[in-house]
Amino acid sequence: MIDKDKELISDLKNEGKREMAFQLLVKTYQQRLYWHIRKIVVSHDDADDLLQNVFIKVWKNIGNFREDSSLFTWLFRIATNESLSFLQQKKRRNIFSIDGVSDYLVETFESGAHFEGEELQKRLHLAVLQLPEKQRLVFNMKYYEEMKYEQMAEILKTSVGALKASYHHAVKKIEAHFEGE
Amino acid sequence: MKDNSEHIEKEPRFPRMESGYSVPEGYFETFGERLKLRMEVESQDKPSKSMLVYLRPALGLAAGLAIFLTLYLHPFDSQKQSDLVGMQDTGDLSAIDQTDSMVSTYTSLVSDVSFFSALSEMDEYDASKISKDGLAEYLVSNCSDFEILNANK
Repeated sequence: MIDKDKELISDLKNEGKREMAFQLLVKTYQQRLYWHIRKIVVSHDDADDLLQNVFIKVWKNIGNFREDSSLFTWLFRIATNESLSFLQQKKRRNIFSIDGVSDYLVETFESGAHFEGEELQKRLHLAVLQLPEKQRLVFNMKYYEEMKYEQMAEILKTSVGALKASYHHAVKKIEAHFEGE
Repeated sequence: MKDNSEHIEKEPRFPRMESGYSVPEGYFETFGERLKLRMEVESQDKPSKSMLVYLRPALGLAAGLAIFLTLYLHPFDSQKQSDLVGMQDTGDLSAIDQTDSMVSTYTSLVSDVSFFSALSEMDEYDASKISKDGLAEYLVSNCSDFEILNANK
């Protein structure tokens, strides 16, 4: 773990320095976490709520952080789990099928709020939103966020091989989607 | 032998591009403040841990009392059910009164429309249409010899 993060964690666990350290943590990681969440749940308002939930969870649980992974990994794991749980809740409350979640996300995307991309970007999103959950997640993290497989493997607690396979399948489906249009 | 991981690592055939997602103006600049405000509000709304420690046993007691009173004032009435069962098993006739009252309750609930329509169906029935053979067949099937012999007595 890099020294900066170690110092930040140490300050977060120190009652006297906790608030200042937390403000620094939020400032350092808010944007990256937001975009990660946003690509999973699509809606800005939902992403905003979930981002707040993530930081509140971090505030409450920093004492339990064992530091066996990096701070970045831990934060991203919380953000991913919060986002996926949110979609699971949506699925349960609205009796979505697995495909139904994709329909919900496509509908949310097509409502157009807070999207300023061009036609090609829109088409890519629509193709990505049709992917199964795991492939969508892996594609977002690899293609948009340019994460290394090793980093993704730590966050998602899965093997590099499985991630490479997921990404490969996701890309193939998206290419087929473009060719079929 | 070809290394299959090579084509797995190949870049997509579509170009690399940004997501195109945007945020409201000033979103990230004000996020920290909004988060702080929410955390302050939530910490005020939540009852303190020490209060919960005292409240929990009282709530448990109240719940137990509510259940007890419900059962005491409105006991589950298994008497009728067991009486019916008793009638079947032991010929206990004391339950018949209750079943009669249940039947009369039921018939009173049958709508007048259905009752009178049934009556009108009976009125339309013409006894002359029954053949002697048909009647004989009915009697043999549905009545005992004793009933037939004593029918006119």
